[in-house]
Amino acid sequence: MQFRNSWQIQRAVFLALFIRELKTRFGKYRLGFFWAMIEPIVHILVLTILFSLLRDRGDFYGIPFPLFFGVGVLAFFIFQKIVTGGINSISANLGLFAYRQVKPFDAIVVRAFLELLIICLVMAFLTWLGAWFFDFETFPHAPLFILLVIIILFIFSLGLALMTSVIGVRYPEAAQLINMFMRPLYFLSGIFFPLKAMPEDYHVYLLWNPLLHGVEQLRAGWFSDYPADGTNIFYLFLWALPIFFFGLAFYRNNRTRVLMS
Amino acid sequence: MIELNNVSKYYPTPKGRKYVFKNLNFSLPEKCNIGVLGLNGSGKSTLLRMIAGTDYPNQGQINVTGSISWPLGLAGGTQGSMTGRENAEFVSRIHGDNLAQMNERLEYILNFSELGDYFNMPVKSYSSGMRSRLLFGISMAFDFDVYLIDEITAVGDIRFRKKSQQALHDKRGYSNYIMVSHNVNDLIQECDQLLILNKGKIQLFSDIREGLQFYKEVVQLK
Repeated sequence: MQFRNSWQIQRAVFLALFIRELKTRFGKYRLGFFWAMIEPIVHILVLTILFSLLRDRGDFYGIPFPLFFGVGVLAFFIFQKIVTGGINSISANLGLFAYRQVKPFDAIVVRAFLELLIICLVMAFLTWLGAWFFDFETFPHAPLFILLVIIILFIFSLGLALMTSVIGVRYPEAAQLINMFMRPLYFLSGIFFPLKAMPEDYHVYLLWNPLLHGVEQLRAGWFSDYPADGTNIFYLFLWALPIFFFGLAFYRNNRTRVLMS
Repeated sequence: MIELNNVSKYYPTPKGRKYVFKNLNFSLPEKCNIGVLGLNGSGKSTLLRMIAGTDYPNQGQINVTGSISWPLGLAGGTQGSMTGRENAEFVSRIHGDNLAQMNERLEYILNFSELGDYFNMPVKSYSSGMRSRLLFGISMAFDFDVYLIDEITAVGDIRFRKKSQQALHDKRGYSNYIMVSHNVNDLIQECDQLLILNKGKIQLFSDIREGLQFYKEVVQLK
């Protein structure tokens, strides 16, 4: 057997796991990838309809509500899908860890990357929809900044996914709690209302939530003149780095135990 | 080369650590087929898994050079929701095959495992014999320096077992194996050396009959 260096092996494993994840998630249906995108799109659609029934004017700062809400909820979905997806990422691939080059870490990273990819595709779709349907300039006005926000959100989420994946194997009861936390976080992250529309007295508390910063900053990169002052991408970054570090450490500390159960 | 440096392996129990191996220092001889013998629970499978790199010692190190197969005949190696073909493709990919190599291997695996239409069905619908055949076929499609085999008798019916042994024989000269077996005839015929696991210690016998004698007289009579 020919000798391969570490990077060649790592790349081969990532690719194999990526294709494996693609197949099990979308392979069963025709146009499977399309169906994966449908779920967040329907989510945006349903809540837009609900919201327009509840409120007379649906838009903030002249941004059509589906776009305002869509961009915000997708930022949140990067976090949510990756973190909850992490819970099962080890058990779903348990049989494949019999191969020495395949480690749980690889499965966690690949799954997180796939979730990110799906959401990015939905974002692209939303951009197209905005331009076509709402006749609104939806192309991000600061694409590089958006990329930065997405990368930081990804690092933040991957760090947590490394923890939830271990928790999912070692403390399955506690994994239920993770899902429970998602609901309140959804409402506290500025997805429906911009920070500015929330009572000023509560800003002090709301601004502790790093996701709120991610959501608002992504919008700021997307829509020109979006007033996102008060939130700061650097704050999210300050969370992301230690979370990622602790995620790696937690995983490393448990990397043998997750396989021995 | 397979080398164990001060390897200890234990499982935590409510009454303290239950040691499977304690401070093992050992180097397995190269270029020969090694039979592994031991009572139930003596750590045969654990040893194979640790050599395969899918289980870890609690202390010490296992140094390995050369390519080593995954442990055959043990749980794992397939993902139930994937078809036999997808599992085979996965293994081919993690070994860095290009498309042409992959197709070659898939054809070999399909032929060897005799799965027919089942090759395109999820592995969870397989019988245990079919699963073993798939895994054995996949491993035979590659040329490892050392094959790790846990009870080759577990591989399907007698005919397929013969075929498997033949495939292993065909690899003689460039591949060797470490085989767990309780079959005395197999050990005498197939192996050059005998490894006996006894109470957390390892003993190596270059004379198989001598090893079997020891096993009968010392290990089993306790």
